[in-house]
Amino acid sequence: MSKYSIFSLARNAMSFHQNWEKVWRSPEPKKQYDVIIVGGGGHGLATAYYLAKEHGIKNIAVLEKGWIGGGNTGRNTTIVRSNYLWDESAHLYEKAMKLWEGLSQDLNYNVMFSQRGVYNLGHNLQDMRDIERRVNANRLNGIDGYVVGPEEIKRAIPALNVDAGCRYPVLGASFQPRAGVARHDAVAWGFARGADQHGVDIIQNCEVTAIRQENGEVTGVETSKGTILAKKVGVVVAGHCSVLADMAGFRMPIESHPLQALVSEPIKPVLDTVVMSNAVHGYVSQSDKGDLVIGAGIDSYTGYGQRGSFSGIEHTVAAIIEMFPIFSRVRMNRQWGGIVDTTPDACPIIGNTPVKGLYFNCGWGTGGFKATPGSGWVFAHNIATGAPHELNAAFGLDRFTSGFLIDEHGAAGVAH
Amino acid sequence: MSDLFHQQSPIVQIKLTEPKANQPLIREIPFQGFLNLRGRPNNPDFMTAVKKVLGCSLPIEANTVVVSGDYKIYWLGPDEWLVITPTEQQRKVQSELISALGVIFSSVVDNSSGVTIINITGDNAANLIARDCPLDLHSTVFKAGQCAQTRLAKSGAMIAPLLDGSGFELIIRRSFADYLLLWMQDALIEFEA
Amino acid sequence: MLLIECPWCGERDESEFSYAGEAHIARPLETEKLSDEEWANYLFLRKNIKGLHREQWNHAAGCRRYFNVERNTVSYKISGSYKIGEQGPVGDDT
Ligand SMILES: Cc1cc2nc3c(=O)[nH]c(=O)nc-3n(C[C@H](O)[C@H](O)[C@H](O)COP(=O)(O)OP(=O)(O)OC[C@H]3O[C@@H](n4cnc5c(N)ncnc54)[C@H](O)[C@@H]3O)c2cc1C
Ligand SMILES: [Zn+2]
Repeated sequence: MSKYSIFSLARNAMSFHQNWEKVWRSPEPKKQYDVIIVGGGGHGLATAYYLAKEHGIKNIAVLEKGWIGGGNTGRNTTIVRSNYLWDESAHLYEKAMKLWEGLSQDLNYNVMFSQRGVYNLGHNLQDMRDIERRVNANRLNGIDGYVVGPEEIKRAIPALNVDAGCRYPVLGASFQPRAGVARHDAVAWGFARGADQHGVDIIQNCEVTAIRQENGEVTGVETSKGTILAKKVGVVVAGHCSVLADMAGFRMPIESHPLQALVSEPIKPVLDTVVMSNAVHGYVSQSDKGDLVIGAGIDSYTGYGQRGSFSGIEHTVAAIIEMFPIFSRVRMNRQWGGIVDTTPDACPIIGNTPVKGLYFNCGWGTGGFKATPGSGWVFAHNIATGAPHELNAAFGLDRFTSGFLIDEHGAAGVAH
Repeated sequence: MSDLFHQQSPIVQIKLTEPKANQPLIREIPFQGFLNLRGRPNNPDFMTAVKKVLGCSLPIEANTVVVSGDYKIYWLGPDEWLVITPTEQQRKVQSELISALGVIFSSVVDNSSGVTIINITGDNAANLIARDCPLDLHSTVFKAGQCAQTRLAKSGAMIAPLLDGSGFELIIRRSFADYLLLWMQDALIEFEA
Repeated sequence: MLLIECPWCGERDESEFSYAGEAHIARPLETEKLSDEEWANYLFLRKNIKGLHREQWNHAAGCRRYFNVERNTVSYKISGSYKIGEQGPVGDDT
C-alpha cells in the first residue's frame, strides 16, 4: 500500500482522485487465525494494529458485526484528555495521550488530533477543592494541568457566562493544555489502514454468535460467516460485552446504558477549546465544520437501542444554555445515541477472563475514546504475552472480588 | 410554640398582578393545615379509627380526593394520604387522629409549614401548567375528584382539578414556592396578548 | 421517551420515575458467611440482558413506590409492570 504524502496527493490529482486505492482490503475470512479480535471499533482496530506492529503477530482477523467505527467510536464527542485522579488511570490515559501526540505520523493518516485544551469548570467550593486535588495529583504524575480563575476563563472563552449572579457561578476550572479532540472516524480508519498494511484481515458484517471452547480454553468463534478458529480471542465490543460474556459462560460487572450526543447547525468559530461541567452537567466543543458538539449524561435505564430519551436531550440542552446563554438561538441538527458499558467504579476492565485464551477489553463506558491508542497498546501486550502489562494490571476483573476498585467517578465526571 | 410567631407566606416577595388578556389567575391559599397520614388500608381498625375523626372513609382508589366537611383528603400512595385542614386546626386533628389510632400501626405527621397551595383559575389555567408538566390535564381524562402528584418545572407538585371546574389546585413545597411562582410569571407572558 | 405504567397511578411520563436497576436480586441473608466471589456476585455482577429485562423503577415524582417493569432493552417496548413480590408478565421478545 502506498504512503500518503504531498506526492501521492499530486499524483492522484492528475487522475482527478479517481484512482486512490482502497484504504483496507475486505477479504473473506480464513478458517483459522492466530488471534481473533471481536469488535471493529477504535479499540479493537488499535489492538490489532499494535499486535501486528509491536508483537509481530500478523495472522489476525478483526470481526465486526456492522461497519468499523459504527459503534461508540463513530458516535462519541471525541474529547481526549488524561487528567484522571488515581495513579492507575492517570498512567493509562497518559500513555494514550503520548500515543495520540504521534499518532497521525505513526499511522500516516491524519486523525486530526487537535490539542486545543480542555476546561473542567468548578461551580462551588467543593468542586474547586476536587479540581485542585486532581490537578495536584496529575502534576505529581507528570501530567500537565493547572487551576485557572474566572478572569482567565472569561478571556479564553468569551462566550461562557461567568457572571457572579448566575445560577451556577464559575469559580474556576482545571485546564489541561495538551487535551483536546480528534476526528473519531479517522481514528477507526487510520488504525484499520495501519492494521491492514500489516496483513490484518478486517471483516465487516461478520457477527460473532458463539464462543467455542474446549476444556476451559477458547478454540474459536461462530459467526454469521461461519466458524473461525483461533487459540486467542480478544473481545472489544463495548456495550455488547455482557452479551459476549454470556456466550462464554460468565457475567460482567457491567450495565449498558444509552448515551446521547447532538450537534448544531454549523456556525462561525466561537469556541476554540473544550468546556465541561460536572455540576451543570454538560459539555461542548466546536468542530472544524463549525457545529457545536454537545453531550451530557447517560439515560438512567439500560438499553441497547442506540437512542436515548427526549428528557435526556432536554436536560443536556438546558445545561449548555445555562453555561452559554448565547447558544440559545442555535438550531440543533442531529442527535444520536451509543451503548455505553458502565462499570461500578467508572474504570475499564482489561485483561484475562475465566476462559483461557479469551481476553476482554471493555467497561470504557462514557469515556473511552480518549484511551483508544493506549487501550489497544496494552491489550495487544496482554493478548500477545498472555498476561497484563503493568499499565493494565490494576484493571482486571478480579478487582471486583479483591475490592481494589479505582473510583474515577469524579474525574470521569459528566459522561463523555 | 409556633403560634408565638407570625407565619409568613413563602411568596411574600412576589407581586401577583391582575390577569391581562388571556392570562389565568394565580392565587395562594396560604396557611392551611397539612397532615401526612400513613397506615394499612386493609386493616379495618385503622380505617374505622380514621373515619371516626375525619367523618369519611379514606380514598382507596389511587389519585382521588374526598371532601368531608372542612377537610380534604388526597391519596398519596397505597398507604399514604394528605389531610388538609383549615388554618390552625391541624394540631387538633392530629391529636384526635393519634388518640383514635392508639396502638394501631400508623403515623400522623404535621407537615403544615412544609407546603402551600396555589390555585390557578380561568383562561389557559391548564395551558400554563402544561408549559412544563408531563401530565395530561385535559378535562376528559383529569376530572374533578382526581388528583396527581407529578413534575412541574423540574419541581414536584400535587395537582387537582378544582371541584367547581374553574381551574387547578397545586400543592407545592414551600421551599420551591418562590422559584415556581417566578417560573409561572415568566410562563404567563405567553398569554399576555 | 418511555411511558411507564405505575401499578397504582397508571401510565406516566418517564421523567416522573427513577430507574433502580435489575429486579429480583435477593440480598443474601447471612452476608458474613459469603465468600468474596459470592459477595462480588451479589454487589456487582449483572445480567445486563439484551432483550426482555426485569427491572425496578421508583415513581419518584408520583406515589414514590418501587415496582417492577418488564422491558425490551432493544426496542424499549414495555410489556408490563407488576408490584414487588409479584410474578411478572412474560412479554413477547420482539
Ligand atoms: C454519545 C457518546 C459520547 C462519547 N463521548 C466521548 C468523549 O468525548 N471522549 C471519550 O473519551 N469517550 C467518549 N465516549 C466513549 C467512547 O465512544 C467509547 O468508550 C469508545 O469509543 C469505545 O470504543 P470501542 O472500540 O471499545 O467500542 P465501539 O466503537 O462501540 O466498538 C465495538 C464494536 O463491536 C461490535 N460488536 C458488538 N457485538 C459484536 C459481535 N457479536 N460480533 C462482532 N462485532 C460486534 C460493534 O458493532 C462495535 O462496532 C462517548 C460515547 C458516546 C456513546
Ligand atoms: Zn405511582
